[in-house]
Amino acid sequence: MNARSVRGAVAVAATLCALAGVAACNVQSDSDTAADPSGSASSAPQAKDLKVGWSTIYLTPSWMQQTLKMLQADVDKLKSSGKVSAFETFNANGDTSQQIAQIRAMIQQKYDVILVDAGSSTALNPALEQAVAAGITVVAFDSLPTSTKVIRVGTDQKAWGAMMATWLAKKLDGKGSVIAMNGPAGVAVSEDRWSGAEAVFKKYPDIKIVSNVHSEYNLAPAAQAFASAYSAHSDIDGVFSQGGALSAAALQTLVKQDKKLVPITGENYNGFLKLWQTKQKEGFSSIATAQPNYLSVIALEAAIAKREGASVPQDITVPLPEITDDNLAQYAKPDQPDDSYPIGDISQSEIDKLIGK
Amino acid sequence: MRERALAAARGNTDLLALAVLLLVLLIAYQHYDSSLLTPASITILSAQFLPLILAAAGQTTVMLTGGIDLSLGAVLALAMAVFATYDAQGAGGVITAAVLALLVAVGAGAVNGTLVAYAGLPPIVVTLAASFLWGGVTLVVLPQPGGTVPGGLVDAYNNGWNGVALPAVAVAVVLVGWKLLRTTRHGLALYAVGGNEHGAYASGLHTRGVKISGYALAGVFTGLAGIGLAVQTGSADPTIGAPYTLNSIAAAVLGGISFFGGVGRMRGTVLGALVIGLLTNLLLFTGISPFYQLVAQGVILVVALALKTYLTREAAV
Amino acid sequence: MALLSVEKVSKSFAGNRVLADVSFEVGRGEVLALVGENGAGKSTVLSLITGLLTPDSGRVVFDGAPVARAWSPHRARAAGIGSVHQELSLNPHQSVAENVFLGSWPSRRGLVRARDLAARAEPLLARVGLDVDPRTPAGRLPLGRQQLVELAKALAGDPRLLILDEATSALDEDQVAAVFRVVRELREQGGAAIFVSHRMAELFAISDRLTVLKDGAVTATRAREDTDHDDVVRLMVGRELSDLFPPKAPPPSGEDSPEPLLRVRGLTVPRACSGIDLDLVPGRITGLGGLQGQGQREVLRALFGLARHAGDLALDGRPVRLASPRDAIRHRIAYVPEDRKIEGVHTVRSVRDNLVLPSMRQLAPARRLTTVSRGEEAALVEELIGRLRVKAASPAQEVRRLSGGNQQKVALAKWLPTGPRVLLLAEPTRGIDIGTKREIYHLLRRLADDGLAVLVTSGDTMELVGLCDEVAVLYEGTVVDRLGGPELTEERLVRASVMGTTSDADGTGSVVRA
Repeated sequence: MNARSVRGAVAVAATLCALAGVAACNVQSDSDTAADPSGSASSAPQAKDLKVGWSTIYLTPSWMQQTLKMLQADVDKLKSSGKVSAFETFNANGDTSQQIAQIRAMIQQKYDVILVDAGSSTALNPALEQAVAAGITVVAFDSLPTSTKVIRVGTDQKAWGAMMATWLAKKLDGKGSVIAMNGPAGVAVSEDRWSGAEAVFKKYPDIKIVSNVHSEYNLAPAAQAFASAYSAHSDIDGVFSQGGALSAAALQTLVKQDKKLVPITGENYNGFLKLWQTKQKEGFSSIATAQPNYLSVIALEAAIAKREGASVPQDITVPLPEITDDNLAQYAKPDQPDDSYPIGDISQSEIDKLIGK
Repeated sequence: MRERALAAARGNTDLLALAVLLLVLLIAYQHYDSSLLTPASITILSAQFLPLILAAAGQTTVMLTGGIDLSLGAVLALAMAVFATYDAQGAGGVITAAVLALLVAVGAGAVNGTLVAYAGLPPIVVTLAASFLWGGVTLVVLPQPGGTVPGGLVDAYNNGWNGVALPAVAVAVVLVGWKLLRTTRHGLALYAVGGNEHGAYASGLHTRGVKISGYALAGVFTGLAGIGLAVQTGSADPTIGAPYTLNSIAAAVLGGISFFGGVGRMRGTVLGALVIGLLTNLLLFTGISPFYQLVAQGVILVVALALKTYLTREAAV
Repeated sequence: MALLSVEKVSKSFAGNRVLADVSFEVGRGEVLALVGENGAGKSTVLSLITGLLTPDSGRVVFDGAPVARAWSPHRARAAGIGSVHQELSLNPHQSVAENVFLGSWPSRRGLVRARDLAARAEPLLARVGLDVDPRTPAGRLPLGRQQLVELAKALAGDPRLLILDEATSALDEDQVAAVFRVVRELREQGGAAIFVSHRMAELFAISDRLTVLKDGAVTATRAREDTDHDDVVRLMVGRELSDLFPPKAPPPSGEDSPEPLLRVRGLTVPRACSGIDLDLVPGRITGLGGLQGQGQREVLRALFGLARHAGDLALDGRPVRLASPRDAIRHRIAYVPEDRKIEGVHTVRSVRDNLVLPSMRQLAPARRLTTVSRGEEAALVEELIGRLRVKAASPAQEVRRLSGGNQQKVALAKWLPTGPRVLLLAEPTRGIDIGTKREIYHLLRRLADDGLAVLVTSGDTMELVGLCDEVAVLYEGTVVDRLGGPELTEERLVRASVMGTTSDADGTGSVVRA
């Protein structure tokens, strides 16, 4: 055996090993993809053995993990009733092109239902519309694409911004200087929430946005961004924040520097809720809303209903919960980690109402 | 004839190994998706891979000069934004939009190249800084996802035009164009500067000009990648480019392009990009849990690179 | 009128004056030798002519016209100045033909065709006596042949003035002869050449006049007939040539030949050498001679564990395996490689860092939690710098800022604290000025006297004859002759190298090993 053929053998063996490794991983996954072919027949009156896939732009953040848990619970329920036979999660890990590939793969693998949490509001449209054209029921939730051919389950992000801004403006009696904490530039959610808020602030000419800060929705970068804005404008009367981690970062900074706890708008990020609760007696006041994790459940139920022939509305806007100084205790969970998003379950009747059953 | 084929194979051990890997991936793919070799599948897949292939071609051009481009993703997004924001009406409009996008990308590349050539700073530093610059400019052009691309074009690109897979044609054009370029003085100069910059200078080459034109040429490829992505997605998204920077480097390195410049072929890069694209797709089919997919992808890439090094090491002595 | 005249040029780097009012001329049909120790300013003045540098004052006049301020390699080449430098300017990844026409590839309708390129390169390669496929990547060729490709590349510009800066340092005698042929052709056609070499014999063989530089100034220009080796060396260094080499070790007395420290039997390195037998004896300097690329380099690399090899090796009579440099270092074998900038020293690190690197274990013992003792380090560095007379501004100076000779001293010095018993040196004085050469010769002899076994390869016949106690001559990878004592003369060494046979007294010659 000469060196060349040895090398060739090594090459082949290594490739096989790599593929064997892939196959081994396969065993660990919990999928049972043996779908009954009859299940893929479209618009059967009773949904049976549906193959469901969820493509998400991220899976690591705790919000996504909670969403997955809730979704999985609903899937288990549907599996026991025989409506769903297989469920797969695809994580694009921030790469939108990868998400397109995932959707294409699901089309080729003849999924019945595609759920999607979109990484781009526009880039997925052709792929999603292709899926719809292939007879697949496509439901987007949370971060939505602009396509009108898919069912979209979301909250009104502009209303989110408006809710926060209205509360803050009233709290400040319509005048004062405010630091705005927004998400990363160019991200649709962030831009939407801000445009909703901006429209409200326009009605209060005496409220001045002294600094508009952009930051990742993460505690550490947000704390840095806020600290530098605050050092330039330490005389502010309030903080408009459009995300829980951003709010927590702002509040922590004020607490740490022992400054006046001006009103800060928030989200159901537990780290913020806990701090809010402890500082309530020092006069700190806030409002928070939530991007409810049960969006995913509504999305799945909407897809099933659609397969069963119900006339599901194209756009399902889930009302935003309102967390105030009065009902804070129901939400804040002192025994749970900061990085969680406490939210109650949604009742089946509410779901049915939303999806038009 | 056989002799010549053997000789060609000997000179291309690494490319051959890569081709074998690709073949193995294709066979595995066929196992999961029996429609792989139908025109529809080929069109869909080539549409999906084109942006990465073109981005990797751009990265290759820069790496051949001995540089590296960390701003590639940002420039790609910029070209995409320019292309989709220009409200294109009809064929003329599309061409205008494409020319504008390409000019912007080439301009960005030339600026990168000029900084590298004249500031005397390492390319990795210059292009890292430039990535923020071009990322910012992109947000000025297009603050949030949007823009439009004529629907007919999107459809023709993604679903085939009279049965022709346009993206596959684009890749063929790039390969032929590169082959021609390699036989021009500019192409030879690119390789010469990358292989031994001082020697090229001492031999009378205008090395700075060669570098600048290399980065500008990379801009052409990156711009085309941006246009391709815009057509694929029917719109533009200012934040979509980032993953292309590292993926393009991975594809180029897998394809045999040296980090030190002067070594490598475009065919290798195209193969490398195909391997990366197919691999990620294949892992989706296998039903591995999402986090294991990343692990598997990393393992396979490392194994492929290690193998490539092993297979070509003795040939180099 | 002269083809080239250099008129009162001066040049400083960072306030350090390297050229002071240097003037000389080269006439048409003339070969000028530029002589001087390393650091005398030869390369700098040549760089002014080839456009790599511009002078601070004075001017360069070529073909009657002063060269422009914006002189560049590109313009110099276009004007008819071709140059070959010691440092290769080839791109190892491109083909020989592509290198020959580097920067001015002939194209037809914008396209450069490989076949066309090869056909045009053939005659140029033939002119420099190179028989290689023009499509081979240049990096695959041995150093000497690459140097000839450089020459072909210079000829491709059809030069009227050819500058050869240490262009023969990596060449064997046949190859040198090919270079001389090219230079003579050029001279006959009315062109001119400037020739720089450390090999005195070559200077006298080819030049018409010699200009001697010392410390950045011209000390004298002499016609060849009016001078000799000793005169030139005196002008360069103000010292006689006679004490260049130290006295040799006394020959082994009678029957009891000394016990070898490292015994090599049947050493074989695939595609480089086979069946090499060597006995390295403490106190003696052994040389490996022969033409360029006959396997000398691979023998050294094998003995340092850098090249895969077969054969029996015994140290102190016990068999040893040298599979990696770690093995070799553990057995106290030290290696000073040919390409010192790659394997010998870290050019961007300081003199100090280079010198202490092999001694890290001693300087940073476990009891100090492997932290380096700064005091001991400084003492060691000071001792080595003093012992080898390394000329450095300070121990913190980067090695690349040192002259070639001092770099070589650093590459050698760093091994001394490890207490080596066998010292392997490849081309220890290539490209080094004569003063430093002398220092290195004497140092090697002192090390041998201290009980080291030394093995040296060199392309310089005079060096082998002057320095070594015994020389094994390699030809196509096998030892064809061993010369020692009175038999070790330049003539016999050259004959064995060229003929590949023993240099029998009767002159018939017989192949020692098939």
